Amino acid sequence: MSNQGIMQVFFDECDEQLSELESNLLALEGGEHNLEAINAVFRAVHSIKGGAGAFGMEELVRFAHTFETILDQVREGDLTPDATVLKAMLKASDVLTDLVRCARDGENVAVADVEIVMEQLNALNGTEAEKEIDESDDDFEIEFQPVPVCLDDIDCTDAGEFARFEISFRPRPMLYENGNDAVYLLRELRSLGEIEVQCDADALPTLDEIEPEGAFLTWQVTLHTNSDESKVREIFEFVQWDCDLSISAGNSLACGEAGIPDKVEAHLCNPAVGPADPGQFDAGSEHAETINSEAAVAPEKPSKSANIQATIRVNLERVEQLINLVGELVINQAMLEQQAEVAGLDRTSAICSGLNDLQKLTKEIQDGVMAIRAQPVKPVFQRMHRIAREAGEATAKIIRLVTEGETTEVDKTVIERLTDPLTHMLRNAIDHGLESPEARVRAGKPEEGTICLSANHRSGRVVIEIADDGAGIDREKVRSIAVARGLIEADTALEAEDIDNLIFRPGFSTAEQVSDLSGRGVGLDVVRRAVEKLGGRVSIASQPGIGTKITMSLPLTLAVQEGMLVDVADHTLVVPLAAILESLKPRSDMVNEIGLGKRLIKLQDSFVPLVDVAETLGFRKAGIDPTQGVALLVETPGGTRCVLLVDAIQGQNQVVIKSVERHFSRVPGIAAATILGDGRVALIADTEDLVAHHQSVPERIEPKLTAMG
Amino acid sequence: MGKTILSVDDSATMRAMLEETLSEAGFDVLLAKDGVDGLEVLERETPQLIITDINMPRLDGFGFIEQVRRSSNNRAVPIIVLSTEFDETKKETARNAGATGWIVKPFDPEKLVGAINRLTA
Repeated sequence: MSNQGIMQVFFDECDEQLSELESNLLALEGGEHNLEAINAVFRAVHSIKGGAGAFGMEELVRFAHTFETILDQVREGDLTPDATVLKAMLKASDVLTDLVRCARDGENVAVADVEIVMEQLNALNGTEAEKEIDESDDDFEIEFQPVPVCLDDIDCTDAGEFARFEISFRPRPMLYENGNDAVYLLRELRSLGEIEVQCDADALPTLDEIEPEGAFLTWQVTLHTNSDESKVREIFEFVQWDCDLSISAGNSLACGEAGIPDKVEAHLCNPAVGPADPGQFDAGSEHAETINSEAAVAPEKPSKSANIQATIRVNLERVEQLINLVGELVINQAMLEQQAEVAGLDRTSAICSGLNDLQKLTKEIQDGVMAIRAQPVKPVFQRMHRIAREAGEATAKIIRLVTEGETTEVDKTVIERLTDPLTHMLRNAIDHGLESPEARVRAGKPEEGTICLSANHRSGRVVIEIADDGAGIDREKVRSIAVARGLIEADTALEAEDIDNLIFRPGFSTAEQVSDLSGRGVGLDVVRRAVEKLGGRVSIASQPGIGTKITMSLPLTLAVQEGMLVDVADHTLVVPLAAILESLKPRSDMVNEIGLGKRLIKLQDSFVPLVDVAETLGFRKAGIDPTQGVALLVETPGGTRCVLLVDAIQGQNQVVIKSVERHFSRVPGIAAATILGDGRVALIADTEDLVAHHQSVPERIEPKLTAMG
Repeated sequence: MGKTILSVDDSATMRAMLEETLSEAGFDVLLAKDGVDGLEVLERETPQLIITDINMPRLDGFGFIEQVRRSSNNRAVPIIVLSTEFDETKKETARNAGATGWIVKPFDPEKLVGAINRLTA
């Protein structure tokens, strides 16, 4: 794996850890004071710090370390995770998220923000911690603290200062138990210079008395080296408690030896490890026995391992390829079936029953492959907590965001494109939906406003709802704004629901003052557009004084689409079912010519532009007589209604979407292609583009006509 | 015959880095994502050396080392702790649990490999 690849692993892991971090912090905030949550939070930050350190991301390491220090105190019970502490931690998790993003995108970090939060964290910790951090910064410079290993970069031929050290060490059984060996240490010493070794086997018992796991040898080493004593000590650092050790400096071969002995004396023996203390030696042996007796006991079987789901990381491209192949398989299977029918094979024949099985299997494979791309909405939902926090701060509102159905799975692409509309809707709900705390109290509601974000599967689609317990839509205000913006006429009769839906219209924004938060003159029409681009729909329901609920219904996948198969000038065209509101057979009295060959169709009390699909796509020179065709009333993601005129309807079918843009340049009015059961290629219409391409009747005309109707 | 090293770390990044470093140095690498996972690997494998992290879910490095030292087939294997921590009391805990050495993350690949070679020669 390349360095780049490992870096990618790191950032993926960061995303996981950050989401783990936040969800556990939120659980703690919700009053769950369990140690496991605190440990998980600690580990998340710790992991990020570890990886960041490996890549030399200093900013990230520094911040993660400060954060970790606080978390460690909480973990040790020295700091109570009360509301203030948790708030600071959530803030810190936000900053950590930013730092990770900056590191990934190579952006500059807003240092001031980081410092502020860092100070807040340190404030929780008191002065002692700050000192610790300073020290630790230095420690990070040390890349390697090898024990019992030493640095290899000593050149023995170097004509530096040669010193002589007399080293005596007697391993205790513990040293061997810990997987070490005197020979490793001797090897380390040799790497520092020349050594003379003597082994003292006086303590070795006779064979019938020997304790096989005991340690009985003492090693005397004379080392000539140009390394200083600290290097020698370093070798024994990790084993100094596992052996009796003495190191003394002999005569230095170079000048300037006078001061050395004193200095060495001071370092000499660790008081805890007096040379050759028989009592301790025995204690060591006893310990060995305890361990031996325990060795008979089988190690505790991990019981929880079954709960952990094994996962693998797969390049998305491979999955895409698989999905494409399965798409081909589905088509191929359908073709075979059709051929069997054409050939007049008996339904009970072996071939037909085999084909039936094949169909079932293909369907299962298709579902299985789609499931690979499916991911829980949890990461997106979790990001919303931060949005809610920030929006709450900006508007001085008290908010509780409740999320439900986080495990609901949706196609990866759908999830990715869900973040923006969801963010927008949430901000909108906080900014315009919820009242200020004072207003809420006046209305007899709790100060804290609740927003519920939920996801669930409903009849093969994913339904995402965002419901607030705010004041509901002020219909009078919405209406007057719509009139002021020229969206409706002052006397247009509208149902309550129609008024609510006005807020999704382009150019509508209820904020009298464009707020910093949800709007920059951009309304919810952007949300609607994004959702409909995904083949989804948005609807709104509001009750004055009780709240507002916006519902998004989305397809589970973007690889397959429900489509209406229609005939257009000898071609089969697929119109996405999600765009079609209704289909009808136009009567001649419904059609109105408005000149320049443009026509409108009168539906109930409104006039809707008519688009002859065959003509627009260039299949035919002139449009057909509407009464000879079928009209499909569609609504584009932009909210424009339009009637598509086609020759006939073949039926409804699920189609596998194949991009055409890889092979051809963008074709106006065409979104993609598919392969039909009989192997023919059919184009999938892009309704919005079709309408825009046709674009003869300015959109603005529509409301005026509505009013006239 | 190539030497086998077991690396136990809950961080996918660290596992990827260790795998890269160690396999490049000619070792066979076994990976485990926490102590429990590590013990499972050790039920069927006998690596020449173990590198373990300390902070891990389910079973941390200290617990893992203790269990390895109590096991029947791998109790004498050298175990290097690879941790971002450098706290003396933690090191001592590791030592008491049975660790052979302690290396502070981030590690220098060359030096890590050198250390492994010396402990497995």
